[in-house]
Amino acid sequence: MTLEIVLMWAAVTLYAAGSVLFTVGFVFHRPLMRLAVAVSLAGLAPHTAATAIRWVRVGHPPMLGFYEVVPNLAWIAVVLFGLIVWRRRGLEPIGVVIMPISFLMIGASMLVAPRADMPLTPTLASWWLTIHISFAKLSYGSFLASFALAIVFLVRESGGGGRWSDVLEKLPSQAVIDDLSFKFIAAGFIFLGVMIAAGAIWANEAWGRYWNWDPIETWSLISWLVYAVYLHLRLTLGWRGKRAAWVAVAALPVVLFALVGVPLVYKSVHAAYLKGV
Amino acid sequence: MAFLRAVIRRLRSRRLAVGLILAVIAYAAASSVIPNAFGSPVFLAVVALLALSTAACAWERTRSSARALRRTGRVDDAQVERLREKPWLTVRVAQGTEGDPLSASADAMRRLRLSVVRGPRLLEASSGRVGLLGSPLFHWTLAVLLLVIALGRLSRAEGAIGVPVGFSRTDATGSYRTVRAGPLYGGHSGLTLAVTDLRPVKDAEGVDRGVSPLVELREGGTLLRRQRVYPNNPLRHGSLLIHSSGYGIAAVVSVGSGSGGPILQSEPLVDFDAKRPGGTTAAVFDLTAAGGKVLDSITLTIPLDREGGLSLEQLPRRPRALVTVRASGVETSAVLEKGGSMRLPTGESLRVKDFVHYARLTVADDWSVYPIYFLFVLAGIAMSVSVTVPYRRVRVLLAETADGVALHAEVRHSRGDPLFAEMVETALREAAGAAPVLNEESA
Ligand code: HEM
Repeated sequence: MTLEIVLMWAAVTLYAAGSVLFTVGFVFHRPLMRLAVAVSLAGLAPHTAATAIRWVRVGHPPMLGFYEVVPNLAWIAVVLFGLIVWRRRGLEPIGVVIMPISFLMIGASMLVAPRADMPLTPTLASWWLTIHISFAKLSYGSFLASFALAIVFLVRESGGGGRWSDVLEKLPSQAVIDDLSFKFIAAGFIFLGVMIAAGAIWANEAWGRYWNWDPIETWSLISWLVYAVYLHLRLTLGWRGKRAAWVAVAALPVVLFALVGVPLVYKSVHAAYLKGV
Repeated sequence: MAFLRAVIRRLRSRRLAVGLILAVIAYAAASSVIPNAFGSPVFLAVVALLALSTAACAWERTRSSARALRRTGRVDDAQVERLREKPWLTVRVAQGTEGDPLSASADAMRRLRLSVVRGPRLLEASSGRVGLLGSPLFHWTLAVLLLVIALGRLSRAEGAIGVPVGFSRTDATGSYRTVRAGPLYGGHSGLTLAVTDLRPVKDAEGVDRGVSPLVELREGGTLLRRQRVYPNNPLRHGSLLIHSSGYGIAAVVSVGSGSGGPILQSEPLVDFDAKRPGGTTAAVFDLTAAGGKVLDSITLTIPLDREGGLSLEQLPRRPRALVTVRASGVETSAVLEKGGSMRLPTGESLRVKDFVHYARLTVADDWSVYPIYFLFVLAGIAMSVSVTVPYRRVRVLLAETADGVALHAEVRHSRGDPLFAEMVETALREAAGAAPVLNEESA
């Protein structure tokens, strides 16, 4: 337990440092951005190690309880971010959005860490659950990336004056950012769809009922439909650029509410994954 | 007919689609705080309309995709004219360029992994034609999914049945403690459900699966299925899905005159309930005794053993039944161990023959479950194809212009990827000997 906690704190520290470097680099001094990427990605090492240690110790993937779920989301977000900057140089500035969010997620979970071990109950011991949770992570990671890209798009669109402008100029064209944001949403939509379907199948295998309008189920479906609206606005009504970016920005809070808000607001029986908040 | 066509035209309006999805979102959000609002006719009507609209769209998309597929490699005169007069991109072919610029363009397009169909002055390069079918297939699947879910709900039955260990029950309405059946439900199977054992189990990997019954499904004397039932491991047979949703205690009780007359038997079920004094609920049942006199009711409860102030949720070591009988307004009580009996006011005697655990089984009879799984998979595949295999098409015309030969091009990408247009432009410029761009109307 202690080594795991020490490693987690190391990750928290590196993510925090990465967030600060990104912010400073973004506003004042672009070369800092490289360092910011390096520091943030370095945080993945202790984070991954801590996750692995925990996985082995508790005997199930990181999917039960706030302390396992939320940092894991941050992990996915940082990995996705790493992949983005690796594939497309010049997209480093989206770290300004991703890193502080990741830092907050992992930081908040450290506050509940000590009472966080949860056993795998018979209902939870299912492959469908693993699929369900993996795809949930993938979708939230994708939506977070689309959100960050939409923010970058909007900042640049608003003319982002003064010191910021030379940083922003180095980014790929607005058309490419806009398109990437759309691609992440399309991918996230598929992942979320798989997540919902796997959840329904799992519920049927575990309880004999594939859909029960439980608040978490309802809000996942709502999130999915919100992104269906985005895709329709874009593909059928031709919304692009600024309007599409605003929709992408507005959609993320719905997803976050489905993930974190619902178990807090509704006292759902479903929310094993957030126990320990 | 004209009316129908007008209705379909309305239904496939893209604004209506967005509006309906938004309506479902709004309704679902509101309903997540109002209990049972999802069964309301308003919600069902909106969803039904969305399903119809999705089907109408899918139909229209299927036709237009099929048209696009059929026309691949065929360009009509009007399209050639448009390419000549209003190209998206014009690249002047540099003087002294070796070879045929259209062939060079064709090679360039092949390098972009497009397949090329060409004539002497015109070429069409495309890829991802299957991608065109993804979106219609996805929308068809959604429409069918909504239909199957609706029919499934209407013809589904779901009930809870308690089966004491060593006993069996028939899958028939009367056997259920609670049952809910849709208006189109065809009737229970009449198969026999037996529980032969109940105990805490671990699976092959050592994961604790909780207290699980061993369930047998029989048809007459034939054993159809025999299986340990625990969460994520239901017993399946055709459209039947049997889950274990808990267990409790049953007493095996008989009533008879003891002088050779018929004996009636019942197995009242008692559930664990920490709020009750003995830690269990009381079963209320009746047995009409042989003498034709009617017992009003029998109430039976079985107090649990306690340890450290808590009731142990299992059969007590020496179980006792607290029995209260009401007959013709008179109440008689007794505490009976296994084998114990009491005289009833009617003259017969009531005997407790045994105490056993019982398994609470949930039986869902729903043919739509596997079709729904199948549609999930289909929708996932169709959607993935639609997104990851975009249809890409380039048409290039070799045209004579006032200042010499030029390539006129038109680019289409079903997802509007800006990088594709850039790549095509670069490739065509190279093919034309890197001549400057004359005009560029849109991106
Ligand atoms: C449950 C309702 C619906 C959902 C969840 C949904 C979802 C989607 C998604 C995810 C896409 C993007 C991927 C693709 O092209 O396949 C899409 C595209 C599209 N949808 Fe829907 N849709 C729904 C209903 C409708 C309806 C009612 C219409 C009729 C107007 C419609 C028309 C379209 C069209 C025209 C496209 C663009 C296809 C393309 O660009 O190739 N959809 N929809």
